[in-house]
Amino acid sequence: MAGKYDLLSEQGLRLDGRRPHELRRIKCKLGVFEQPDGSAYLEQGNTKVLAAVYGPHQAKGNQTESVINCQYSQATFSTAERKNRPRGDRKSLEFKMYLQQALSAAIKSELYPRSQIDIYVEVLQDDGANYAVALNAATLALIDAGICLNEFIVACTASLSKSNIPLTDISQFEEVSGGPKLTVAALPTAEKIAFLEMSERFHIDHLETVIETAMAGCREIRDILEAAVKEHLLHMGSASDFAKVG
Amino acid sequence: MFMNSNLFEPGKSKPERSFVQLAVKQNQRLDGRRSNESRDVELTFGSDWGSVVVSMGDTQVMAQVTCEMGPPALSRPNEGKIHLNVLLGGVAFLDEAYNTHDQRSLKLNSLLERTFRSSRSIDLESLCVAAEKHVWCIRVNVNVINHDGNLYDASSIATLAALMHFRRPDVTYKDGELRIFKQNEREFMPLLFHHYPVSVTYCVYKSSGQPILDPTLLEENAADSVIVLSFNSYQELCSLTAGGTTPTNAPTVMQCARNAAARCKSLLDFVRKALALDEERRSQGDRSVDGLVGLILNTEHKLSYNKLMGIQKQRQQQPPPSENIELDNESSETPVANEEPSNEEGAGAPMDTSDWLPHDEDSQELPMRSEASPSKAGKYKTNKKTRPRKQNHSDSEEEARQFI
Repeated sequence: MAGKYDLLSEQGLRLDGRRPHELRRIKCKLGVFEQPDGSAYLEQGNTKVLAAVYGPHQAKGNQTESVINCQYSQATFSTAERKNRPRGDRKSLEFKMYLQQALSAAIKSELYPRSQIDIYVEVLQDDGANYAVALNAATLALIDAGICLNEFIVACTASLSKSNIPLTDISQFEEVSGGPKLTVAALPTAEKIAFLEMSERFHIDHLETVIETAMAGCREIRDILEAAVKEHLLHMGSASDFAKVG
Repeated sequence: MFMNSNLFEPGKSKPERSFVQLAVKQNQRLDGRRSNESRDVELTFGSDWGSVVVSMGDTQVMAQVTCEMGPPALSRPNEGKIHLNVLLGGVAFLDEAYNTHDQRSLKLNSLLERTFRSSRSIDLESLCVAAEKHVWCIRVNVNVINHDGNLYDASSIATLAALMHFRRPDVTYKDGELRIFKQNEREFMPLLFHHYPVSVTYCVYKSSGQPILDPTLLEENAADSVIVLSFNSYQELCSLTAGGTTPTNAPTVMQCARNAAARCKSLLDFVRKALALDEERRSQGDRSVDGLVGLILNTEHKLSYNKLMGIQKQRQQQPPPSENIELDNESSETPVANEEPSNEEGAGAPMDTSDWLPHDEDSQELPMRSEASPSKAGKYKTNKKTRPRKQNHSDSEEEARQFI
């Protein structure tokens, strides 16, 4: 089931020195660009992602409902070997579809009829959990753009070591070494799963623990992102008087 | 289920959606199935090794496996290669809105890749002939002939059956010389598997907490989220995708997972039996196997899940080839009631088949209906003809039909 390497050493440490339940370090910044309505930069460990949001603006065609349009792209320099096709390959199209799915669960689309919201995500450095970090960055960018969300939508990955201990937030090496990988995009407070994907294999008995681990990771990430948003508001609002955020 | 979907397919319009939601809430489905009941799965093997058509109700999917010799990937010089591709032709859909088409095709492809390739179900190292120089490249092409919901299951069953059915040429590599033997020189060999995965699909609706198994197109389009799970016979989860327009929650996924594990096991047993039957048929005669012509002409032998699996109706459809083997080991008594896929045990329990339906010689009935007589193993029956229920109807109806 798991790959060739045991992702957990005897001392219970992973390759980068983390404990099984620990997330990677998250650094984020909102409002990095001027042009888009909302933008964000998010780092989770070594995975670095930029997200930009344009909208809501007028949708083309006669749509009565809101249209959420995503684009997922990976910079050519993001992987160890030069990536020839930044977007439009199967993987990117898949991620794009999943991003759309997850974000449409979070955005209050009933408030934006006949409008289109464009979300562009660019992965600058790929160190595992691309989709998860991309989604988190997209959430931040949406908040920066002022688009109404039902709730934070966060994604987290989880895996299982050979000794059946669940690991949170897997890195690139852990991903390719063949262990199972589960990605969850969830609305943490509502405890709802917008998107769930799993590959490789493990026994069904472990499924519940792995999902729960990923959900716990989502909750942690959500707290971190919320703190970052509040800080950003304070920073932005210090010029005027709305700096008092509860 | 997909964004920006077209309106020509059943289930995309609001009235249809609300209708289905209400029906599911009342635990009813349009074709009368129960929420955990699936349609009959029918397998038809072609005359070539590695070609199979799977029908689940009106959904029809065809898979063909081919192989060729080639250089291996640089990063894995001693492993063979496997390519999986699903083609959704225009023939399968009413409308060809590119957007939906694209998303569906992506999702199907991704699912198959994860189920078969990422979970390492085929032993790729056994496909290596000479490291760094010659390896077998297996290519699986899946064509969707008709889409009536649940393409995921149909494609995965088709892929698995095709791969298990497939035989590759024998080859020797000596002194730098590669020699591939033809069929008349040396028998072709089957592929080696680590495990056999197959997938199961559930649809979840906002109005009711009960997920429904094996959705039709209408139910799938009206669904709020679709959960696709693949298990193998060891109850290992090989791939899982959950999501849709509305979020679901962890307990629902877990519930589906538990039921799916049992159903996957039974599906695998069915595929194995179907393969065994086909094997027997081929070995029995030199008359050419009818192959896929059997799909068009209602040939007698159809490998059906319900017929083969006893309690659940399993039907096997085999192209009426030379051998007329109807192997219905566990054909059930009257395919009564429980068709719960979760009722896997049916497969295990040998059923007495003597009071099976009489077989009719000519199958003038609806396509895909041949019912294998529930005979003891090895009995020959030609044409079974019982109208296989195309879709699961109510129990009594089935029963009635059985005795036609």
